[in-house]
Order: sequence, then C-alpha cells, then structure tokens
Amino acid sequence: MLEVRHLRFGYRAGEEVLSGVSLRVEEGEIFGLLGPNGSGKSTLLGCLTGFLRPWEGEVLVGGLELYRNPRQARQLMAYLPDTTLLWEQLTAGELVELFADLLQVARPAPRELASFGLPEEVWWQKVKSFSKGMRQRLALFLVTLRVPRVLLLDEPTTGLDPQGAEVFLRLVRSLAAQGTAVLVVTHDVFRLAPVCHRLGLLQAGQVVPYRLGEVAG
Amino acid sequence: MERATRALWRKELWELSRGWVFWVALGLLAAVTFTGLQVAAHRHREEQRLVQELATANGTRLQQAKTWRELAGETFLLFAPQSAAARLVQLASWPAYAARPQELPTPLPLAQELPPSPVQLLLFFVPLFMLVGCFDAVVGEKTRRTLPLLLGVVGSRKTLVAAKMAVRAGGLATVATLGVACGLLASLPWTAPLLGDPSFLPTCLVLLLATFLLALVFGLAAVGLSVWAEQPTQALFAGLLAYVLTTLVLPQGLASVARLAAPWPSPAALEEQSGRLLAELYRQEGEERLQVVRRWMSGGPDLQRWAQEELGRLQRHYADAVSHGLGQLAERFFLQEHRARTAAKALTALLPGELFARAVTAAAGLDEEALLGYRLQVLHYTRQLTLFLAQKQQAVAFISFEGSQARTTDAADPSQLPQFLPSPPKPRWLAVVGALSGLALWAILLALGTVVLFGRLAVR
Repeated sequence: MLEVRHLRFGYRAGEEVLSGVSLRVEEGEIFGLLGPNGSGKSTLLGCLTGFLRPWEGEVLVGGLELYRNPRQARQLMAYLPDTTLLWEQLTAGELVELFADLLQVARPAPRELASFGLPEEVWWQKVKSFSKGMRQRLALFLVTLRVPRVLLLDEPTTGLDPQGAEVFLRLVRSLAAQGTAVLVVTHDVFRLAPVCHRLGLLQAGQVVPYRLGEVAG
Repeated sequence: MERATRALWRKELWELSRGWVFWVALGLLAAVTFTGLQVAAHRHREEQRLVQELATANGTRLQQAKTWRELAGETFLLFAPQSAAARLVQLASWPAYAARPQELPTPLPLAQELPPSPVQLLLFFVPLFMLVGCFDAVVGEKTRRTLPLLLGVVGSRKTLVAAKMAVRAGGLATVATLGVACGLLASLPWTAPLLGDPSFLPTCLVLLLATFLLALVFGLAAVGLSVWAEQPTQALFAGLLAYVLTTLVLPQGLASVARLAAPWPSPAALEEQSGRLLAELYRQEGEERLQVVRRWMSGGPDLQRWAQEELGRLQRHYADAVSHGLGQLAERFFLQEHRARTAAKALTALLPGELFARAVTAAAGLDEEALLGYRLQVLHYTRQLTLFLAQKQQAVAFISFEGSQARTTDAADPSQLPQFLPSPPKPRWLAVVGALSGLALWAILLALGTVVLFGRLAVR
C-alpha cells in the first residue's frame, strides 16, 4: 500500500539526512518507525506527505507515485502531525464540518464523536477548552473522516496519559483492521511496540528492521 | 465556488471575526476618524469665527486709518478660505495667511499648529493594523502545526493561500473601511460646518475607497510575508520594516532630499533677500527722483512746496515698492516650495501611502497644481489690496481683480469678505482616477509577487 524506494534528502547540499531510505507498509499493517532525535523521522514524514521534495527516490501510495500525482495520491493519505493545537477559536462541530467539506464527504452527526471517545456535548465547545488527549482524538477523527488507505502518525502518544494513549491506539488498531496501512513515527517504543506488526529503526539515514530488546548500534 | 474552497473561506472568516484584531480595528479606526473629524470641524469653526472677527475689526480700523503707514504693522485681513474637504485632508502647509505686509510669507500660528488630519492619522494606522492582523496568517498555522493538517486535506497550496488572502486581507480591509465609515457617520451630527461643502461627500467616498485599497495592499503584503517566514516574529519584523520604510522613512527621507534642491529660506535669509530686493527697487526707481527733490529743496518757496509734494509721492512709491517687492519674494518662495514638493512626489510616487494621500487630496480639490494656483491667486489679491491702500492712503474698501476688471466693496461689511477670496479649486476627477489606477496597479504587482511566494509554502 505504501512503498518508499531509495529516498535521499537533505536540507543543504552535502548534508544528507535520508540516505536511500526504503520501506514498505502493507494493507492493514501498522509499521512503527523508531529513531533517536535528529535521525530524520519527521523529515521522512515530510517527504512522504509531499511537503518536502526529496533529491532522489520515489514514494508509491496505492500504486500512485506521490510526486508525479500529488493530488490523487494525497487523497488516499491522512497525516497527523506531532503537536496538533488545532484552531482554538472554533468548536469541535465547526471543525468537523470544515474537514467534511474539505474532504468532500457527508457531514457526520455529533453522536459519531462517541466512536472516538469524545462525548457528544463537545461538538458545541471551543477547542481551547479541550485536553491534549481530546485534541489528539478529535484530530484523528478529522483526518479520518474519509477512511484513508495510508495513515501517517508523527509521535501520536507524546504528552498523553496512559489511559488517553490506550484509547488513541485502540482507534489506530481499528483503522488498521479496516485495511488502512499505518506508519507510526515514535520515541515511545514500549507503548507502541505491542500495537505494531513490524518495527524499523531509522539509523544513519536508512531504515533497518528492529526487534524489541535490540540495542541500537 | 467549490465546496472545499467555500469551507476554507468560512473557516478564515470564523477565525477573523472571533479574533481581537477584528474588533480593535473596527473600533479604533472608527474612533480615529471620529476624533480627527471633530478636531477638523472645531478648527473650521474657530477659523471662521476668527475671520469674521478680523474682518469686522479690520474693517473699522481700515475706515479709521488715514494713511497706509497707520496700517503698517497691523494684522488687517486673514485668508483662511479652506473648503470642508480640505479640512478633512488638512494639508499641514496650507496657509492661513495674514495680509500683513512685513510678514506676508509667514503662516500664522493657526496654520502651523494644526493637529494631524483624519487622512494623516489613517495613513499611519491602517497599514499598521493590516500588518498586525495578517502577519501570522500562514506562519501562524505553521507554528501551531495546523498547516500540515490542512495541507493534508486541501488539494492545492495555492487554494489555501488564496483563501488567506481573500478572507484575511480582504476581510480585514473591509473591516478597516467599515471602521472609517462608522467614524464618519458617527461624527455627522457634530460636523455641520463641513457638510455644507459640495466637495465633502465625494472626498469622503474617495477616502473610503482609498482606505480599502491601502488596507488591501498592506494586507496582501503581510500575507505574502507570512508565506515566506518560518517564524511569526520574522514575518512581523519584516512587515514592520516594510511599513516603516514605505510609510515613514522613504517619503520623509526623499522629501528631505528633494527639499535640498529647493530649500525653504530661513527667516534671516528672507530678511536679507527682502532688504536687497527693496534696496534695488528703491535705487532703480527712487534715486533719480530723490536727487531732484534735493535740488528743489535748496530753491525758493515754490520749489520747496513742489519738493514737499514730490516727497509725498516718493513715500507712496516706497510703499508701492514694499508691496511689489514682498509679493514677488513670496511668489518666488511659493514656487520654490512647489518645486520641492513636486520633486518629492515624483520620488515617492509609487508608495501606497503617497497614492492614498494623493487620491484623497485630489478628491478634495487640492492637487498640487491647483493648490499652487490658488495660493498665488490669494497672494496676488493681497498684493493688489496692499497696493491699493498704499496708493489711496486711505482704506475705504476691499478691491478685487478679475482679469482686467477691478471691483470694490465696503470694507466694513464682513459679509462681503468671502466674495473677495478666490474659490477653492474644483476636484480634478482625472487626477483621482489616475491615483486610484496607480494604487490598483500596486495591488496587482503585490499580488503577483505573493503568487511567486507560493513556492515558499514549505513545511517542516
């Protein structure tokens, strides 16, 4: 479903951050990508979403090459950034309607928030009154209004309490069960590992397979 | 319009209407316009009263005076014939001159201590509000990390930035214009003296249109900077720098440079030049007669009587020389000032603030050429009046010259005064259209520049 081939990228000439990254995430699979700070995890996600243009390599989303067909490929993807503050002045309901219109899907009813662990009354509340966990779940609800073929998550459990993280990961699992390929970039290896089908380590600009308990070289 | 585009516009509108900038811009611009107009109306009333008082007092004094010398040193007539629209624009250098021969080119304190006009205040505030309101339009989404979220669902980056420009810049420009309109409307009950002028309404309409365009130009520029910047502070500082450069430093700096070429003389230089000019006039036309008088004074009684009469004529000639000399001097300085202004305008012609001021000034009928002509007319009248009084040695009437025709009226009747003041120049609509076209051109250029910035919409 998501295939990355020999991706090379750097912010300046001669300073390569990604040195030929290759990986593949199958339909219904959750792939956990680990790596130390500054290893290029967020940069890789930037390339996968098309916000950054790699020097070399290609990204296939559902068989479509991302950089040649950005519009069509993006319609198959959803991306949740690491820190989602959302728009504080808007209510949850307004945001849901906004994203439904942007994604060109039917507007959901307030009660549908419950499936993401959000009480119905938050529909009419401004986002500035939400906790971090509520924002994260609302953001996931927003980007998955149209069930994506590929979901990219950047540090999704950072700042969440154990209960909030558990609820969030359950939602991710249910999306994978519907056939979505999920790529999770994280530090939180112990919380994410049980959820992921496979793990990879981004090291020296390349992704290598990783098993829990291994010591990163 | 597509559903997604409509949704983006709606989101921007929600954000704008719920932010503090919206209400502060509306309230403060209304307050600025209201206060500015109140001050203008107050000054207008005060000046009218002063003109009437001076006309009455000087009419009596003119009647009582037997010779020109008795009038020398008196402030005997004030020219302050400003239109209501001119009050709105309030050019700081527009003269309220007293026709006092030895101080002819010196504006009265009334003209020198004028507070800033509504137009000058708006020129200062509107761009500032637009920059403060729009600088974080895109970069704010970057720092909130909501930009990747939005771009993930919006098909095109251009759609996103276009929505920001249309709603944030266009919306806030509309708010600024509404604020000014509210200020104008709220001040109507207290601006009766200004309302009677037919040029007031067109000037207000042009003021509103020019405010919208000025706001739009700075709004679009701020959104463009917001696309370029990586941090909100970066966009804010770049915006403030652009504001300071285009609104304060460049116009003032280039005007100063232009003035170097045609400097306004210092009082000492004025006195020196005035003395030289008078001495020259006196030497050329008076010296010969003085020699004759001196010869006659040494003769018999008849010759001495003729000499006495000739001396009287010589005194009148001196008064004539004073009048002509100062008049020519003042004309020369007006022309110098005009040259400096024209050069400054040419140097700053494409700045948004300059176009804004030029549009409103032209609508008020105060474009530079007409203004100069008007001032020279006033000066001409002053000179002719002084000459007349000097020749008659007795002030009985005002006199005006229309082409080759002279007209006189009782000086004691203040109601006659306005008839002798030249009418303010009429609005030159071509100049208004020209100025607005220039502003529109600027807006288009800035919009194109911003389109080029679209490529900078990178997210990390």
